[in-house]
Amino acid sequence: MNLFMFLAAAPVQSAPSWENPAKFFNWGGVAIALIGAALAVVLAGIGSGIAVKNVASAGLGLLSEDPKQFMPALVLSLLPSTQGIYGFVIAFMMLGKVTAGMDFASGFSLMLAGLPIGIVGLLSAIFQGRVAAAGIQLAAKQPKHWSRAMILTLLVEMFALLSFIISIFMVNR
Amino acid sequence: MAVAGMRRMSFVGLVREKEEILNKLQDFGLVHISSFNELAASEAAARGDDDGADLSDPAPEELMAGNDLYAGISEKRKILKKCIEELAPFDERKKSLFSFLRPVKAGEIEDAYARRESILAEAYSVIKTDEKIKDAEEAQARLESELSSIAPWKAYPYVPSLANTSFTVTEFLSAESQKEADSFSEALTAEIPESGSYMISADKGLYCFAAVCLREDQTKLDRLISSGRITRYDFSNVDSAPAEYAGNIENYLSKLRDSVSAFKSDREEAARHIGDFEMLYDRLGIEASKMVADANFANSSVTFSFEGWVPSKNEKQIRSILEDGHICHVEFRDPRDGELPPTKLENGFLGASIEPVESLYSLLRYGQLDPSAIAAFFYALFFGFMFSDAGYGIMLTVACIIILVRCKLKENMRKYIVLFLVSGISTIFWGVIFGSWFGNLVQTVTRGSFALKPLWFDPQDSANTEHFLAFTLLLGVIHLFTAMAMKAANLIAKGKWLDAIFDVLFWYIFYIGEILFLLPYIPYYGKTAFCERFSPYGIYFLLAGFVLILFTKGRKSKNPFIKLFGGITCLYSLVDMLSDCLSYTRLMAMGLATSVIINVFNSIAASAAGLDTAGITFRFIVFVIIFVAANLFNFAINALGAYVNACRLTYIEFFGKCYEGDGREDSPLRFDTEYVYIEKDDKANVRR
Repeated sequence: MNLFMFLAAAPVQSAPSWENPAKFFNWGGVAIALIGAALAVVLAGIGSGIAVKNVASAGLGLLSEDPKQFMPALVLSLLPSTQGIYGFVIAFMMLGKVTAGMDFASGFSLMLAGLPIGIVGLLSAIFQGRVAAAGIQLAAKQPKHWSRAMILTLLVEMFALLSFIISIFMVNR
Repeated sequence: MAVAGMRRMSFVGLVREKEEILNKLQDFGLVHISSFNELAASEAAARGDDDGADLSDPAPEELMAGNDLYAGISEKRKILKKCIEELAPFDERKKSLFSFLRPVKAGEIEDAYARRESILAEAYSVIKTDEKIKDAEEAQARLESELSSIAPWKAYPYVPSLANTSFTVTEFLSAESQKEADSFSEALTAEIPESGSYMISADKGLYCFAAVCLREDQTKLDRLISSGRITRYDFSNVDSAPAEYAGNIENYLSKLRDSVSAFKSDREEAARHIGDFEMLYDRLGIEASKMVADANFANSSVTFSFEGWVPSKNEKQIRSILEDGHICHVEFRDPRDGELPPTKLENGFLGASIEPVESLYSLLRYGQLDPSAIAAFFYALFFGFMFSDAGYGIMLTVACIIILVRCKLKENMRKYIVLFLVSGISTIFWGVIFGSWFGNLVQTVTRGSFALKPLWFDPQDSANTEHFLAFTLLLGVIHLFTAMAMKAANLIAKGKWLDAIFDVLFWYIFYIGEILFLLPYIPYYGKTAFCERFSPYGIYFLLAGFVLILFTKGRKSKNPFIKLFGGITCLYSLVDMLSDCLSYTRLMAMGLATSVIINVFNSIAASAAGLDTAGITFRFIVFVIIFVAANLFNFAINALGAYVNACRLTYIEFFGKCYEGDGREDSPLRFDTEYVYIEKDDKANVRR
């Protein structure tokens, strides 16, 4: 499986496409599809990055008080990272669908497939991060009940999950 | 798969035999002694007034407040614990990744108890040594900084504290550069003619010099010093020439270092006795728990009595043990209404494995059927589905087997490992079904000439996406319906046949109607012959279920309107059911995420190693390195994801329907140890 072959096989153009808009619409499908893949992985990744940063710093605060609480800190910090992974998976599945010289319409519809997980991933990760950071507070005060924080944090993830499923269907359409 | 049936035990015995009775109870290890709180609550319940009954057992510290003997033992345990923690880094015994209890013979622990005075003395001295080490290290740091500040002044031949005379003042100064030092001495001669500055030492970045002037010019000198970037040294306590003074400090420091290393070797020596500290800590814990039990006894001058809970099957055993050689009276009866016996779970290896996960949720209430085994089965099924790679499954299974065989784990940890073992087997199962062996490793390495075919279908193939999604929904429906069946079983076990019909059977009709009705809209299954044949009946089921629920759901309410139409809220349950089912799509998401990411890593490793062009060469090593590192990462992330998501499906979707929590923890009087495990055959010999 060589998913990157389409890059080597991209059509060589005599004139740059921006000089001739019609040409771009004939050949720009690959670029548009790649933008979609980029959006999926970048937006979801940003969301997860922000969220994990917030939770992990709260977790460090917890660890400085009580070093034995590493498990809650680790698990809660990792929870909002799934959106980034979903975005990555979608981007990768999209790359598998990009074919050399695909037309604009199919490139555009492929790009749209990246949007659900990109946008919802970005926002839900950030919100999930807030819940998880509050969960860290709970773990600090009630170490026995941190698993409940874990479950409540997962409730937020549900929506990223739904977008992820829809993105899969849009890619595989 | 069960919650142990409990019997209420009442005991009256002689005070002079109390110690022996306590020892026997602790050996037996199954009697949960009721606190006064509970006795009061059950009396109130018997009177028919159970409002505000507080069943909770008071914390030992609260119960034992004012008991000096107990406070003494707690204090000693605290010291020992601190000592064990301080010494842990120097403990040379073999350590394992997981905490486990060290097996000891009863003779050893009794020997430690007999030597308690000397062991405690040693623990005190460990803590003292530790304090001494800390003090000495502080002093060392202080002296070292003093030494570094005096070192540049070694060339000054006089005693700095005697430098000031009746008429002159000497300041010890330093500048950061030659230029600054020069400009200071120029300014000094210009400002105060009767003065002098003498270079003592010059090093890169530190130019030390002494400035001398008459006492009457001191204010001018001060102004000069504060105007430039000059540092002033206070040597008023240096009572010998700097060279000699530095020598003294060095001598003292070397003595200090010697003593620190002596203390440290003392500490390392003491670390060899850490086993003694652990045994004594646990042995004192055994004493302490007997005292706590004793505090719940009612005493007269000759007799004492207590009540407690015993598993029914152990009733005869405990009676014969207590009546053997003692003058006492023991009675047993079934729990009354209003009493809540503690929950003692008795599960086989599958059911027991999920107990720690359950305890994170809530302890099962006494009198419920224990859904552990079923919950564990589904937990493992879903974990495997989400982890979904035969290679990872083999890794997980083998790791768990090794841990189980090689380590003597704490009970909770062992159960977790068993759960992961079962989950690992389930992971292999799903991996084979979906044809993922470290993703497409075989295909990648053989450059596509050979691939392990999935037993069923390849979920990554876009033709199968719909089927995969639909299958996860099907698993969800099975899980949810099992939970409802569990609820029915619970009601039937309590003899509430009608409730089982109203609250479960009618809902089955209702939900089956909903599912059949929606089936044509479900991907894949909507196109099957089954759907075509049966989905038209969905609407009838749905309506029948609705009508049945409409008139039965509010049956327990006193308000006649709610009694008749209380079931109208069941319409909302349709949405609930839908969202519950959709929740199972996480199985698809997590399952796909695992295998897609492995494939990505495989292709990255393959192209980095040039497998697709150069064939198998020395660059195969590159492939192996990337493959191993990437897969370890993916393994960790996805195992965690599978763990938390399987927990969620168990807690919210499954337990939400059939699990009644808030049970009371069973805490019988027994050998509760933290560090050591008294070998079973020897337990009876403790204290003899």
